[in-house]
Amino acid sequence: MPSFFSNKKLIILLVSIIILVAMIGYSRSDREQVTGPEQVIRDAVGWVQTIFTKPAYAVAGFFENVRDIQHMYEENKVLKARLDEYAQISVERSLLRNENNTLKDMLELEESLNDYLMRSAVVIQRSPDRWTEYIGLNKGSDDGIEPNMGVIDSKGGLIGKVKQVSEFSSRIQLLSDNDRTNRVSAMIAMDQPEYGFIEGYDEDAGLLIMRKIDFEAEIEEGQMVTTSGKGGVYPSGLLIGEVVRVEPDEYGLTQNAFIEPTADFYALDYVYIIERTSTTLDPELLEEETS
Amino acid sequence: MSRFYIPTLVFLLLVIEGTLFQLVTPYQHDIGVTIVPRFIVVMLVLIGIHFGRYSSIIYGLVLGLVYDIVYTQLLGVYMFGFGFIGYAFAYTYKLVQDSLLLHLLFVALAVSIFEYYQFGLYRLIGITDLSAIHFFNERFLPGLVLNIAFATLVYIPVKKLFQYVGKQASLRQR
Repeated sequence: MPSFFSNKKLIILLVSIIILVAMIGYSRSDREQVTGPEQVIRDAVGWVQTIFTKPAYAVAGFFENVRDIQHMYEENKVLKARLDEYAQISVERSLLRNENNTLKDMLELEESLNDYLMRSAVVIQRSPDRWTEYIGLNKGSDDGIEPNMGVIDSKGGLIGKVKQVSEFSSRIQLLSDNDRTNRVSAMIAMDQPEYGFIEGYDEDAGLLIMRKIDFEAEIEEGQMVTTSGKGGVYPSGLLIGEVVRVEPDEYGLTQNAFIEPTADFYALDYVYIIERTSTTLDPELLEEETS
Repeated sequence: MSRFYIPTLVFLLLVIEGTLFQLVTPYQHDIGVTIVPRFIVVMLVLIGIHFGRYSSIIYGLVLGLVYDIVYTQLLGVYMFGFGFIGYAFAYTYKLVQDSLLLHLLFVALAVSIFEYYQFGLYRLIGITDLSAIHFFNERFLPGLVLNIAFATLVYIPVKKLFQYVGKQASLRQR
């Protein structure tokens, strides 16, 4: 090896550093649409990834079934004990649904914030370097997927939103991703719902952090947290998790709640993509504004 | 035919890093460490040692670009990093080619350089706020151990494959 950096090589190194900075600068801006060549490469690699993941899920599913059988007896006992409760709740539910429908008819409401359409998809990859929390799905714009749709896992817990879409695959930003723009408008379900934002993830404890909750709010452990439908991205009523503990924030003006997510961000295989069907603004309101 | 063996192998490793490997690793809040596979860096060093600087740079740039597009949001980080690894670790001396210890030494160096390059860059642009000591304990050391283990594991099969491909290439030239 004569000299590690000769003059010509030094110039090439400097030029490539400039290209590196330029490319980072270009892709650092929040791109919803990726360029054509990128889409082609993602789809092609995604196809190969599907070949790898689908059989792996089948094998994993088999072992899970075997494990499930072992717990069957105890689970059965618990479930039997709760059966009475279930009958009571289902009666109550049908009553409430009827009442809700009549009230909606009276108000002539046709759509609500929690109308949505579900599409199933398979998780085909996950970012290996773990600096960012992204996963890839095998459905893309060809199946009607668009950026900013919500994604829930098979247990019904919210896991994130669609960030980028290519023809036959898409990339999902998980709630556990530590990006400042990654937030969800959420509410804590009680008589008088409390609103806040899911912002940030405590990686050591595996808990989501809900911020900007009213200081006066009396929040207890075990209360359920759902999406509020007010952010314009997610429909309302998607389950996020359960409150584990509450503490005042660093300025003492609002409260932070730590939330145990319903979804397991680390064992994702089959997920559902949620398309919000209700329009964000009432058309009548828009007409009023123009006239 | 034999000229496609190595590109296919390396591409499959790239796919495995993001799919199968992610299914079998335990997760951060279970074991307290994050294990990041750098199989491609390992392969780049091996290719550099056995086939020379030209091949390893080309492999590095192409794989880095694919890696950037498929697995990350930022373009260019892996492309530059892999390209640099391909450039800096191409020591085609007989002494190096025959010694497992020197192979592992270069793999360890390459993985360390790459990890610190990426950590520094991500700290700079604010993707992570992990402190250096946490990075060292929770990410760097476990990753280094894993990748050296991987290099030891694939050392003999990959060497055999390289020798076979090299022989086929020299036969074609005649």
